[in-house]
Formats: sequence, C-alpha cells, structure tokens
Amino acid sequence: MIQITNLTKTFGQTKAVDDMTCTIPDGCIFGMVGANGAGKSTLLRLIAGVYMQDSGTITINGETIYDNPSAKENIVFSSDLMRTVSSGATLKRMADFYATVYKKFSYEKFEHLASVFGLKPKMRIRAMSKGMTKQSQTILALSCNAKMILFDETFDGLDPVARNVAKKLLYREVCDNGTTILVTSHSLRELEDTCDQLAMVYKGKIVLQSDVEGLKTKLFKVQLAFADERDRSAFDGFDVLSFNKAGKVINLILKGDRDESEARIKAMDPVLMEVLPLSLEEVFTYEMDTMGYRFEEIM
Amino acid sequence: MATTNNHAPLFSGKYYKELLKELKTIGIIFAAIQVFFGFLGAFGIGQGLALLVFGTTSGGSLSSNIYSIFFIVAAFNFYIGHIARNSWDFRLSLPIAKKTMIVSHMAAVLTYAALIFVANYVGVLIGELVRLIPGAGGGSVPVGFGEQAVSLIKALLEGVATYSGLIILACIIGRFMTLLIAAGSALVLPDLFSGFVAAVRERGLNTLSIILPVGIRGMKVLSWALLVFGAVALTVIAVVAYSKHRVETSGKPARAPWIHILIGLAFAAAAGLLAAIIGAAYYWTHYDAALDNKGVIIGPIIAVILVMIIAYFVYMWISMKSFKGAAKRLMFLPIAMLVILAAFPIAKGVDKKWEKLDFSASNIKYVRVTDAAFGNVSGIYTMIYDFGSVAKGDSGVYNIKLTDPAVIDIASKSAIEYKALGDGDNKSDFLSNMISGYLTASIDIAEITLNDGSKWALPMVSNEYTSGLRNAALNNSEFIERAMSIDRVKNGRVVDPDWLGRDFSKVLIGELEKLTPEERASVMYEFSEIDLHYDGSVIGGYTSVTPVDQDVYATVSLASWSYDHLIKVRLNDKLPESSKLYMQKSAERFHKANDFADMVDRLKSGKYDEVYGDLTFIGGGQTEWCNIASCKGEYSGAQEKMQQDAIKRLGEILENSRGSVGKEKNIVSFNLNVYSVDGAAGRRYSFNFGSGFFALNDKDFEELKSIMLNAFSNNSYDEIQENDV
Repeated sequence: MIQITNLTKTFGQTKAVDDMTCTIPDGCIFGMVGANGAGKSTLLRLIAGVYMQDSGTITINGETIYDNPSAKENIVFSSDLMRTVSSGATLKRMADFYATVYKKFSYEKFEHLASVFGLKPKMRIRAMSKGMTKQSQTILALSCNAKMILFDETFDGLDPVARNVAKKLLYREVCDNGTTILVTSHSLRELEDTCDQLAMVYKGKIVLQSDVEGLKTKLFKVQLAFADERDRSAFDGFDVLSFNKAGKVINLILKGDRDESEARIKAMDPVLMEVLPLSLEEVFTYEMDTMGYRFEEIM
Repeated sequence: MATTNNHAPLFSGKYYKELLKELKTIGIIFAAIQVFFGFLGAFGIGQGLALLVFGTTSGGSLSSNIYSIFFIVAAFNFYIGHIARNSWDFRLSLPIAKKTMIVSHMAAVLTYAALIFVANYVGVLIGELVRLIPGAGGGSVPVGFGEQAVSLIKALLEGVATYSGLIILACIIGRFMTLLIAAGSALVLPDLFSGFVAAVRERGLNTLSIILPVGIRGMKVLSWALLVFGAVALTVIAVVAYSKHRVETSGKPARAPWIHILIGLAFAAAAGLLAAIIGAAYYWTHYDAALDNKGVIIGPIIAVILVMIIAYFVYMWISMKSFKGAAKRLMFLPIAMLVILAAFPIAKGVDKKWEKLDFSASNIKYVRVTDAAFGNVSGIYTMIYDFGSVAKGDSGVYNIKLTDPAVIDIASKSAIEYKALGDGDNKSDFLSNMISGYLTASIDIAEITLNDGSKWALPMVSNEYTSGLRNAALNNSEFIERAMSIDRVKNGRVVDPDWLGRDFSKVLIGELEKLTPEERASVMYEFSEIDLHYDGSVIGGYTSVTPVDQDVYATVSLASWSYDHLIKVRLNDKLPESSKLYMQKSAERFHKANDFADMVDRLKSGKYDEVYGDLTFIGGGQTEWCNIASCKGEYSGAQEKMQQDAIKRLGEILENSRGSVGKEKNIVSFNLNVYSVDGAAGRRYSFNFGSGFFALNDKDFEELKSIMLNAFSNNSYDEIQENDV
C-alpha cells in the first residue's frame, strides 16, 4: 500500500504537489487523470523515488522510497526508453539491464510479452516507432514482476489494438500477481475502462478519488414524464445534481443508491421512466460541479 | 520504518558489469588509441606530438594526455547517463542507491583505465618488436617503461581528479554547456594541477615550506601525496555530491544548502584574498605592527571581512534569485569569519619561525644541488636517452651533498637575499613573488640543510647566484664525479635521428668514456677557460667530443630542432669517430634517396629553372662555405653559361661521390635545392635535399672547390666564408 501524507513538492514558485494526502491500495489499477501540469508526473516521480519531497511523507509498506533500494525493489517506473538508452541498445539489451537490477525479472515472461506485442527482442530501441517504444516499456515493466508498476501516460496514443492488449495484460497482472498499477493520463477516456480506482489531480491536489464502479453507480441519469406537472420541488427528497425540464420530460442526474432511488421514483407513478448510464466524463463533470470546480477548467 | 539507504552497498557487482557494457565503446576506442600512441611512443613520436597538440609535454607524452581525455569523456558518460535531465526517470527509479551508482561507475572507469594503461604498453611492445626489424628505426627507444608508467600513473591520478571534479561541477551546476567549458579548460590546460603541484614542490621558502620544511625530496613526496590526496578527496566529494544531489533542483543550488554554503564561502574567501592582495602593501605594513598593537590590525581585517560578506551575499543573491534568501544565508558568515581569524594566529606562528630562520654560512650544514640548478645539462644525454636509466641517475644526482665553503657561502648569500624579500616592508614583494611563482611554476633549486637538520629548497632566482653556485659546484670534484658519470647514459640509445642506430651511440659513449668527468663537465656546461669550440646556440642537440691533445678538442655540433640539417661544423684534422660515423650515415641516407639520381640528371642536363643551396667543404684543417645562388634570369649570358657548366659539373662530381662514402678524407656538407617546371604540364618540381655529406676524392674535391669559388664569386649572391678552426 502506498501511503501519501501531506506531500508537497515545489519547483521554484510552483507547487507541483500541494499538501496531497491519499492512499493507494494494493492490487488495483489506480488511474490518475488531470490536465498537463496538474502534478501527475511529479507525483509518480515522487513515488518512484526520482524526486525527493519538500515535506510530507510517502511510503510503500512503511518504507520511504527516496534513494532507498529495498523499497524501490518493489517499484518499476516505466520510463521513456527513447531517452535513456544508447543508440545501439536493443530490447533484449534493456531486458538484460532490468534483469540485472530487478531480482524478480522473468525472461520467460519477457519473451512471452514480446511475442504478444509482436516485437523482436533484437530490435533496436531507437529504430522503434513511438507506439512500439511504449509497448516495449510495458513489456519490460511487467517482466520485472515488481509489486508496483508506474506508467506515466504510457498508453496515451496507442492504437486501439495495442491498447486493448495492454489493458488485458494489466488486468492479468493484477489478478494473477496482485500487482498495484498506477497509470496517469490527461484523458479520462483512456482510463475509463482500465482502472478500478480513479483520482483527479488538479493544481497538485487530488480533488476527487473514488472507485470507478462506485462512481458510476452512485451517479445516474433518469428520464421521466408525469401525467401532471411536476417541478424540482417534487424531488426534494433526492440528491439531485441536475434538473432539466423540456415540456413534460424531466431529466435528472441523481446521486445515491440507484435501486432505492429507482423504487422511490416508481412510487411517484411516472408515465415514463428510464434510467440511463452516465459516461465517466459526465460523472466527473457533475461531481466537479458539486465541489465547486468546473470540469472543463480542470481537464 | 526503514527510511534510509545507509545500508546500501557502496559497490554493486551487477551494476558495475552493466556499466562496463555501457562504457565498452569508449573504453575500446581509447584502448585502441593508446595502442597506437604506445606504438608511436616506441619511436619517440609521442612527446613531439604532445608538444604540437597540447603545447606541453608535462604530461609525459601524448599517451598520458590521451589518458586524461578518457577521464573527461568518462565524466560526460556519467553526466549523460546519471545527471542529465533525460536520465532521471530511468536511472533514479532503479533500486540502486545513488552512492552505489557513482562508486560502481568509478570502478568501471578505473577498469577501462587499467585496460588503456595496459593497451599503451601493448602498443609500446609492438613498436619495440617492429624496431627489431632492420631499417625500421631500430636505433631509437625513447620510452622507458618505468618512466612511461610514472607518467601514466600521474595522468591517471590527474584524470581521476578531473573526472571527479567534473562530476562535482555537474552536480552543482547541472548544465551541459558549463560542463563542456570546464572540460575544455581541463583539456587545454592539462598540466594545470600538476603545475600547481610542481610549484608547491619546487618553490622554496614559501609559506608551505615554512610549515613543512621537508627539503627537495620531501617536497617531491609531498607533491605526489598532494596529487593522491587531491584525487582521493575529489573522488570522495564527488560520491557525496552525487549522493546528495537532487536532480530536480539542477541549476538551483539554493536547494542544496551544504554545497551552496561551501561555494559561497569559497567565493567569499577568494574575494577576501583578492582584497588582501590588492591592499597587500598597506596590509603587510600594518600586519607587522598589529602583532604588537592589536588596534592597528582591525582596519585591514575588517576591510577584508567586509569584502567577503559582500561577495558572499552577492553570490547568494544571484544564485538564489532572492534577496531575502541571501540575507538569511548570511547567518553562516560567523563561520567564515572564524576561518579567517584562525589564519592569523597561524600566520603569526609562521612569522615567528620565519624571523628565526638563520641562513648564515656558519648555520648551513651542507647544500645539495641538482642538475636543474644549472640549467639543461642533458645535451648529449638527449641524444642517447633511456628514460629508465636517466631516472636512476637523477636520483643519484639529487644526493650530491656539497660542503665546500664556497658553495655554502654562495647558497647562504642567495638564501639571505631571498629571505629578505619576505622581511618587513618587503613582504608584499615576497607575497607577489610567491603568487607569481605559483602561477609560473618551476624555478631551479638547491637545497640547504641547516645545522638543526631542517631543509630548505632554495629557488635560484638570481642569475648571479645561479651561475656562482654552478661554478662553485663545478669546482667540486664530488659533484663532477657523480653528475658526469657516464653510467647514467651507458645503456642509453639514440632518440633522434633514429637512423643513427645503436652502433652510433656505442661509439659516442666510448668517446665520452675516454674523457675525464671534468672534461665532460667542461663540454656540457661550457665551464672552462679552455676554448672548447662549443657552439652555445645548439638546441638540445648532439655534441661529440674527443681529446686531440692536452688543451684542444675537436667538436662537431650537429643539432637543430629536427636534427635534420647541419648548423655548424668545427673540426680539425682529427675528426671524432662519432662525427665520422654521423657523416657516413648521413651520406648513405642521402645517396639512398630515390630522387638523388633524378636530381643529378637534372643538374647534368640543365633541366632546371633554379638551383640554390650551399656547400661546406670540410677537411684540410679548414671549413669553407659557399652559396649557390639562383642562376636563371638575372645574369649575363656569359655568367649564366658559366654557372650552368658549373652546375653540370657539380652533378658529375656528386655522381662520382656515390659509393665512396666514408672512404675518402674530403668531406663536403651539401644542402641543395633544385626547382624545375615541366612546361607542357605546367607542373613544378622541387628537390629539396636538406643536408647530406659527401666524401670526395682529392681531384673532385679540389675541382668542386675551384668551381664554387670561380663560378659563383662574381655574382652578388655569392658569399664565401672561411672559418678557422
């Protein structure tokens, strides 16, 4: 478990991470979404031990991370390979490097994953396309068999096929090994069907954190029509995030227990009632609104 | 909660192996270069190239300079892989402590340094083997293995210091360009550090020597100790700097307080020192008074401290970009002040010791002298150098202990004069001398041992005393016996020109052995009332000597920068064997030139546009020198015809001389240039034969002499000189 408490990191006059507190449980795919400059990458680097925080603590299973090899043994930061290796390095060479550094590195897994993505181990990193490099990063990170893997916008921009493959591999990693995976993205859609936990980062703070299913089931859209005229006051007993009326058709965004809310509305005898699912983006939009943020500004 | 990396190992074998792979290309390239330069070194080419490329040979040879460059490249490898922004995510997220990373990198660099060291010897070995092939420069072996090793070890230590220094700089500044400029400086001034160390070693009567009066040998040990200490200290600082370095603060030293304070203090101290130097005269005057009257000293001290405070504050303000932050940092200034104030009691102690120094002749036990005290004694030895044997000889020479009253008297006067520079009001002169001495490095030294056993390196700054001490030493039989010992070069071999070969050095050494040490000293030092016919303008060349009778020597000086041409010939009828041999080999070499026949043909056929050069007739107890001036276009038809006939005949005589090398007594030194233009092709041909020797029979010799004197005596370019022996 990663425990972040009052974490602050400042660059000059800019607070990249501002008094952040959160807990990332084991065995989940934890997504962090936010606009560019929100502080996602800084947070990942703090977790990976690349940066040292100005204040606050960050621990993995009780151990601090910065310059602490025993704690870092459990973390792999999937960094941009294009920036790190010499021009002649191949995927296999990088595998050898990681195998040297990470005790649990599995060549078997590496070869399997390479074949899944259709990459040749002898291929030079510099000769790879951007997408192939990201696939290589994923292969290497997963092959390390670490307890925690950090992906910094690794899946942004992958083609749909590769993204699906990557997602399946992440699921399997979590299911089979109980690995905790942190993924950042500036696009909510990239993470929507991948993560089971999501956090929205804004100006160095986590402004919203929840499990995805919970978010989706707590917020829902109901389309109604009554024989008689009803106004907003008819729904005072509900947690209404949005009320729209067009003629006799009412659109509601409600928060709360879905079954209970549905039963109560049915009891009001509507002539038409339809409960519609919300996209994650819509969920975030309404949640942000209730918190006083404008989603468009954050993203 | 486990929170630190204190238990992380300093060294990781696995990571070290990975770094070996990363450095493989660099290591192999440099090893290959070292094999090549080691090979060249076997032929004595390294030092000349080093001089050409780096403007110095202080590193010992090109090999050692290349060695230094390897460490600079290695530092950049570390910078790019571990410090540059692009490397952060990858490298710093690895489960390896930073101290482990840098120590492992250092180990990998040292591994390749060892490989490169060995590669150099492999190159030398290959060169030595090639030299065994006849005609492959077999006479020249300038590189002594021991000397080369010392040179490389010195380069290794300097390289480690440079490597660590650049890493420290990278950790502090973190900018590629800054690092590049620093590396460039290290490259351009490869002997900066060694120059400083040499200055420490060779300066006598300076502050350091007052604290540590260890004598010449002690200073030598000290210089090595300083080099080792410097390298180790910088290495340790580099490890700490990288371990403490926080990448995200690169370029913002305000976030690394410890190093910030250190730089700030160093900056302030430098500014304070500068202020002290600028106001030196005033300062020293008051300094003396201050020892008795504490009130007077306050002014200059406060002035210096104020300068330091301002310098420190300005530095902090600029680097932190915050006035408030800089003001906060001033809290460290009390420490700076303590450091400064601590210097004063030390200075007072030094001053007391200084005052007590008694260099009167009666207090001097003995004086040691070195070769260096008398300028370049090498002369002949540069011709038959074997670094290894000379190094042994050097240590012997250093041990020459002189108790001769004349030597002691001169040393005493010199030391007293020098010490006076540091006394009283002249302290500013002494200080400036000392500082300039540090900047300009070496000065010849003698070593004075006082009755209390303390040893003082005496800089021979005065020509008066230098020559006086030299003359006094040369009157000392012990010095002569040891300094002029032929054993020093007995196993030496010819450096240059390599075509002279081993047999030449044997002949030369044989001649030298027949001389007494005094005679050898006379030749080497020009120290005699005897007319030695020694040409003082000879630069590091060859002087062969042989006694003709009690008082007269025949001397042939064949020397120049390149050893390629004759500068001067003086001899009598008893030509030394070494000179004959030199001429014979030179002539053989000349005749073997591929275009010799072509040149003779052109001379005989008149197919040339211009001929010029000079001839020197050697023999018969006289030397005659003639210019052959350009012979086209500037003369009357009759003159031109006469000259063309003369040149035609000259060609015939040269042809006749072929094969008679060394067999005839009439020797001609010949330096000829023939130019011709191929009209059809418009190409210009040039034959420049430099110099060579020809042995002619009597008839040819006389005819040539006659031709030269007659054919060229009427034109304005003709000069004839006769030099008496």
